[in-house]
Amino acid sequence: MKFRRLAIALVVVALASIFAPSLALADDVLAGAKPVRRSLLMRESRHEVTGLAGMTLGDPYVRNILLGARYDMHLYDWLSFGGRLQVGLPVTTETYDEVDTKVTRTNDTFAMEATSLRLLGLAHVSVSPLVGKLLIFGESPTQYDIHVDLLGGIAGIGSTGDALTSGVSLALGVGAGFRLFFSDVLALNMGLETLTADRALAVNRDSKEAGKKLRFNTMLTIGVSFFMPPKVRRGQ
Amino acid sequence: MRKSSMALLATLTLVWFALPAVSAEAQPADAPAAAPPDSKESEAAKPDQAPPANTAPMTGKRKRERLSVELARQGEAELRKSVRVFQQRYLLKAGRVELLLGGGTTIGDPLVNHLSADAGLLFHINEEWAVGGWGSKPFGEANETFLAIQRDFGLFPERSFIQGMGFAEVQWSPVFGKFSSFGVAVLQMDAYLLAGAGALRTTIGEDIKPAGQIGAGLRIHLLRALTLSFEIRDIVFQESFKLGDRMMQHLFGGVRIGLWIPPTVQYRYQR
Repeated sequence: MKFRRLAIALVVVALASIFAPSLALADDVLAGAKPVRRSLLMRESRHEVTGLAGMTLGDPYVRNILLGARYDMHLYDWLSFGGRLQVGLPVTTETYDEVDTKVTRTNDTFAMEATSLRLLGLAHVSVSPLVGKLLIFGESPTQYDIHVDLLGGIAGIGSTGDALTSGVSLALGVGAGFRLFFSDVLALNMGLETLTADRALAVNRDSKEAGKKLRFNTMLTIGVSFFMPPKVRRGQ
Repeated sequence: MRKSSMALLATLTLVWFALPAVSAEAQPADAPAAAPPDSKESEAAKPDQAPPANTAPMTGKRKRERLSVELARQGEAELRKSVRVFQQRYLLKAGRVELLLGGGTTIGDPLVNHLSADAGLLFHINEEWAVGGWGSKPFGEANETFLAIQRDFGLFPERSFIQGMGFAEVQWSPVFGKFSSFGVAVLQMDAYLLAGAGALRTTIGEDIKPAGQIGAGLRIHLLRALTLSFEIRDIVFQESFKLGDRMMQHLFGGVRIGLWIPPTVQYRYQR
């Protein structure tokens, strides 16, 4: 009798183990579905105009405040082309003043000079490989993306004195940015970029150019974007 | 005669098969109740279809149909209000310990560069708050600009490299979200702010210097027991140079792998 009960119990367990996974799978109505469905295409077939403010990082002598605007034509949700124009305002650093003071003590004719970025005219290709949505304080979902930019164009080089010549340099760069949508038409843009420019950084103690060389200029930018047309489509 | 009878039979057969299809196609037009409640057809059919004045039995039928459509619409609206779809958090943090290993580098430092190896431990009190501590061994060196100042101006700035540091910190995660890459897969993440106090030692002097830190980070939930965090920390302390005290600021950017203990999570509800 015991053996019979045990045999029945074993058969039941064996049957359950065979059918249970299939039942569980059948219960999951999303099994095999696409991970992302009917997503909001916040960028596709839209124009984006961004007002930009930024500054260069890690400048030893002159920090550049960069103001301007950027335009993007989003061909797809993940790809855009565009350009930007930024004007640079030079601000000298503590190190600049310190060098000026200390070198002048031993050389009366010395006057500190350094170069700055006066103008940036750049075209770019931007790819948004990461898109998603987030909740801030558990409130309504907000769309965002992380994009990577390839930049190319010209940089206008300025100087704080006469010993260093002003000019124009070829500028190439790469950057990454974060775009947070406040609404269908308004977004906050933050970016970190590095851009080459052929410029001498400063004069030496003889007030001569201290060797021209290619420099990487790291820039932090923040901007507010406006998207047109205002209507956002949904994907499949 | 035989041919014509065969043709007649074939025609009748075709008509027989065609009839049900015709009546099925005609059904929605004659029965608006069968259409979806939100469809434009049912909207258009309902108010404009005034019943003929001389067909009293039809009026009752139409009324019932109209009532059915209205009830169906109300029912669906109530259902939409009451049923909400939530996606489970992939990684639960409350009551778990996060063991952190990683490294970083200083960003935008004009004269010196630091690379660092970090290790830390966080206890997540709930899904938003965590407390813990971390330590770091930085490796500092003078950069090209520092050497240029020596070479071009004959000046020898005093160097301050961080030799080691440790901090206690509090983390607050007000942002939770998810992202995908080209629709291939969906990963969840949270973003956090952090603040803390600690101490460090530099190449100037033997004493331990108090320091403060603030920062922000983004934690990507790769597995239920594994995360990848990208962080920025601003380390502030006062340095005692020969020419006087000066407030120093080092901005570190880093990556940390988080190993979660216990490695598995238990949901209260399966869905």
